[in-house]
Amino acid sequence: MQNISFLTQIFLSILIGIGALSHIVKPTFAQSASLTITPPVTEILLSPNKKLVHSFTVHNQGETLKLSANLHKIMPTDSWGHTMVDPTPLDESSIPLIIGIENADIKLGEPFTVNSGQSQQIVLSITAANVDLPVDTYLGLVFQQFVDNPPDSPQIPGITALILVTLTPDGALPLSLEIADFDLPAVHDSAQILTFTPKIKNASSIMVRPAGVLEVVSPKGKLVHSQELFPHLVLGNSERTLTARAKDSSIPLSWQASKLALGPYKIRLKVMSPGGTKLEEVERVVWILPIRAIIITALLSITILIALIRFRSHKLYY
Amino acid sequence: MQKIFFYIISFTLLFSIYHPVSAETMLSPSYRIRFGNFNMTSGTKSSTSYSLTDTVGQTAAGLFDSNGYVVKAGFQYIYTLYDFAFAISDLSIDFGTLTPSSFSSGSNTLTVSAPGQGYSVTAFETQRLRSSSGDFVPDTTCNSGTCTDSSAGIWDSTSAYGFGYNMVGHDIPGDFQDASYFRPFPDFSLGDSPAIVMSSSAAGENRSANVTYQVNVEGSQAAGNYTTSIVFIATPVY
Repeated sequence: MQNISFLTQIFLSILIGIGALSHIVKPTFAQSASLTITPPVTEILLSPNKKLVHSFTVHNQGETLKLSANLHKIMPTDSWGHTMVDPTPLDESSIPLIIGIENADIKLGEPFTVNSGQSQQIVLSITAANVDLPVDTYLGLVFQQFVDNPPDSPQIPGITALILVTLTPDGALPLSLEIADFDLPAVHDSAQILTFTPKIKNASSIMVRPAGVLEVVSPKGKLVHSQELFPHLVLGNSERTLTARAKDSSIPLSWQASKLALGPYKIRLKVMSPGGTKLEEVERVVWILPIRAIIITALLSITILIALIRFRSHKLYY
Repeated sequence: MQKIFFYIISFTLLFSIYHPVSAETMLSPSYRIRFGNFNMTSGTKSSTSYSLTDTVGQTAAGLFDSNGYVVKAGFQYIYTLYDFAFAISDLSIDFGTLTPSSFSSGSNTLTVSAPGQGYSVTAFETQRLRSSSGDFVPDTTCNSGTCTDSSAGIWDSTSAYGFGYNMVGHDIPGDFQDASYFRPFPDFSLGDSPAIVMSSSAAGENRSANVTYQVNVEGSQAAGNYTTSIVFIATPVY
C-alpha cells in the first residue's frame, strides 16, 4: 500500500510539474538581427567600357533572416567621413555605370534567406560607361531585412557596404585641394598640448587620398616635431578633418612643446598627392611661452618679497 | 528516504523541462577566425618604386590591380581585428492596448562594431503609426511642441500626444540629454531625410544604445491597429 502511494505521488508530481510549467514557462522568441558585411568600403578606379566583378559577403550572426540587397546613393554628411544613405533605391539611369548581380539565384531588390550563422556572397558586376572626363559615383550596397508588408515588421535592420567609383579615361585625375580651418592661437603655453584640427577641402568632383606631414620648426630653424598625416579619403566636393597616422589607426594632430621652449615656432602643414607631389603648404607662427612657469615664478617672487618685507619691518621694530 | 527521492525526482523534472527565455541577441562567439593574416602573404610591401598594403588570397578584401581597373577593398591603411557589424536586439515592438493620455513604451538595443574610422546609424519611419482605415497617430512634438527630427525635447506630459523615441548609450546625439528627451522619427512618406541616431569617428567594438519608443494617444483617437516600420541602417566611415 505504501509502495502504491509512493508511485502515485511520483505520477502526480510529474503531472502537476508538466501542467504548471506549461503555463508558467512560455518560451519567448523576440526576433533579433545581427549582420556583418565584408568588405565595408571599396574604392574602384575604372576605365570606360571596362567591366569588373567584385564580391561582398553578408554574414548573419543572429536568427535566420530574409534579406534583400539594394543600391542607394550616398552623400557625405560631415568632415569625419560619415555618409547618409538615400532611402530611395538607386535609379541606375542617373549614373554612368551598369551594375548587375552575377549570382544566378539572387536579384537586386528581391529576397533571399540567410540562415542563422551562415553567410551569403553577392557578386556584383560593374561596367563603366564611355566617358570623356573623370567622374565619380558614390554608392551604398544596403543589405536590409526584406518585409512583404512593411508595417507588419516594426524594426527593419540594414547594413551598408560603401562602393566608391572613379571613372577615368586615362588615369589622370584632377586635383584641387585646399587646407582650411588651420587657425592657431598667437600665444601658447608650453605646458599645454597644442592640438590642431585643420581640414582639407576637395574642390574637384573626384575623390582623392592625399598624404602629408605636420612639422614644427623652432626659432633656430631646427625641426623639433613631425607627424605624418593619416591618408584619409576625401570625396569629391567635400572636406575631411586631418588627423595623424598612428601605428594602425589615426589620432588627433598635436604637439607638446618642451618645458624650455620659448619664442616663435613655425607650424607647417604640407599636403601631397598620393604620388608625393606637394600640393599645398600652409605655415603659421605661434609664440611658445612658459606661461604657467611665469605665473608660478611671479607668485613665488611676490610671496618671497612680501615675506622679506615683513621680516625686515619686524627686525627694524625690534 | 521516500521524501528525499520524491524531491530529487521533482527537481530533476523541473530542470529537464525548463527552457530558457530567448530574448537577447546571440552575438559572435569569442573564437572567430579572421583570414586576414592566415593567407599566403600579407602585410606591407615596399621597394624603391612602390609601396602597397595587401593580403594575397583573400576572397574580397585586399588590393587587386589589373589592366583597366584598380580595386581597393576593406579599410586601407588599417589592420582590423573584427568585422563591421550591426545588431538589433528585438525586431518586434508591440505597445499592446493603448490607454488615452497614458504613456506606453517599448525598447530595444542597437549594437555596432566598427573597425576603421567609425560609423553612423540612421533611422526613419516608413510612415506615421497608421491604421488600416487611414487614421494615424501624429509624430510627437514633445511637451513644448518644439522637438523635431534632429532636436530632442522633454516629453513627460500626458497631455502631449504622439509617437517618438529616446536614446541612451554610446555615440548617441547630444540632444538626448537623459531618458525624458524624445524626438519624432523622420517620415519617409513625407520626404524627410533620415536622422543620425548613432555616430562615431573612432573605431569601436560593441558600441550599444538603448532605444525607447513611446506613444501617447488622446481620447478621440479612432480604435484600430496602428503600425509602422522603423528602418535602421548602419554605414561605415569611408
